[in-house]
Amino acid sequence: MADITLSQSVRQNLLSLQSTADLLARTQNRLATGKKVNSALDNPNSFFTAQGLNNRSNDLSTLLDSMGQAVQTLKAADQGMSTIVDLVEAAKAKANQAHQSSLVSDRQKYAAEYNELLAQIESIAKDSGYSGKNLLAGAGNDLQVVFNEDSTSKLSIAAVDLTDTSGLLGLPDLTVGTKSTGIVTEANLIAGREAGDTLTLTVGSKTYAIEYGATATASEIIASLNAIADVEASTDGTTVTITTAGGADFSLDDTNTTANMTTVSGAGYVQGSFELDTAINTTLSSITEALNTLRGQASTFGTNLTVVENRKDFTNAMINTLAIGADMLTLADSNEEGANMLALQTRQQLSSTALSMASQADQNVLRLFQ
Amino acid sequence: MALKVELKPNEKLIIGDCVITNSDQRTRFYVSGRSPILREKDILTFETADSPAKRIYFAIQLMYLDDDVSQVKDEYFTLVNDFVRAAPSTVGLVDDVNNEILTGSLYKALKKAKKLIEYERELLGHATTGGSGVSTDSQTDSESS
Repeated sequence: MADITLSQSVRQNLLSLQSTADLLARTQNRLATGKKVNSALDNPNSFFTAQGLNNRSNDLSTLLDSMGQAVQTLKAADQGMSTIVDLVEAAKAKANQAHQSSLVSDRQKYAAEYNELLAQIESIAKDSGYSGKNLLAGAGNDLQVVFNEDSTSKLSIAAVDLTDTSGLLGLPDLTVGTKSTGIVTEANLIAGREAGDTLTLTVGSKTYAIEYGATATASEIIASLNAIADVEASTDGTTVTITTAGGADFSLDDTNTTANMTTVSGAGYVQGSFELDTAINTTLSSITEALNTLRGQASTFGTNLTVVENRKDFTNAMINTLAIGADMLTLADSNEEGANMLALQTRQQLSSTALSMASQADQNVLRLFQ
Repeated sequence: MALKVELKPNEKLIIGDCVITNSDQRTRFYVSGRSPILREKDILTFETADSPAKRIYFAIQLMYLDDDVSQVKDEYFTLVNDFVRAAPSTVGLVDDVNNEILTGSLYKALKKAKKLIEYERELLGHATTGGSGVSTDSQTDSESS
């Protein structure tokens, strides 16, 4: 086949066809991507500017993610904190109830419930984390929120340790206290009965006299013992179990020793933390201090949360502004921009934005500056 | 570190919540502390903030004087976004300003907003002289440069 020779005019036509095809391809690409400038070849200046804006936008989005995480972490801590405040208040109610009851056995029950509340506080504190960070779990959980790419602006939020109530809160577990227990056979219990005799129960500094006449039966004595506060007695038919709460280990004996019963003594007494009023008062004042600590910390977290949320909102708006700039970049003709600016100037004069700023200015020092 | 301030006769100055007006003599003094300080020449009032860029400056000034970004934030971004829509080439300058606000340097943000006012003056110059200036970067579609 012979070579094809192209005349000058045909070559020119081919070249222009080629460039039309090129243009078509580019237009199609724009239609597909929605962007006016897709590659550095389209328009180098706009392309690299747009790329710069997109990079900046991505950097800010990364920061936004970490701010979002921080918000969640702070919210989790805040929620945990308010539950803990409720629990400490419940613990305070237990201490007050103990104070109002004169029965040592009741006080022991309240002390046990108080300890359970403390245990709940500790488990709430352990569960107040978000994605690995727990601001209520102390060491190693400090949170750092970065607000700009070079990390020169940041907020450090120190974690507090509430996983052990005896630490920051100063609320150690209470000693519940145990009762004094002793056993006596029914036979021994009535062995000393005689006319004019009395049984004496001694619990610490308190003594109780029980009628112990010649015809006293074991069940009568048990009933009498049960009638005494903080004393319980029960029988299985042969053996009587006696328990007393408070004071010290008990002892039970008869006065006249013509017919004598062997002295019965209890064992196992441990003084509970709530047994004495002074101890309850100490606990109550520790709780008041703990509540103050908690409220102070809750407000610190609250302030931090507001700061991070505000910055997050602001960063979001910044990204939006960058997107507007990137979208309209190809408009960047200074004549057109100048005309736009004039139009904006006129339009803004009556805008609600302007009015709202005027009222803000009236509320601050600018009102003095006329 | 104390800030040295020198006031001309009758010049005004805002320190914190107060406006200080000089008497008829030059005054020189030092200010220590963290209150916002603005010289008269840097202060725009609602009436003198009469262009889009000046309104942005005014909004930042409100943030600076009240030390509170959140209250004017919505108005600020309305202004800023309108501004960028009208003149997309300002997006870089605007982002600089935003960055200062984000990082809590409101005084620096004010300084950078001044550049916006200058740039706006140039643009308005183009518009009012009937567009006789040379377009800096022609971005027509037909050719790739």
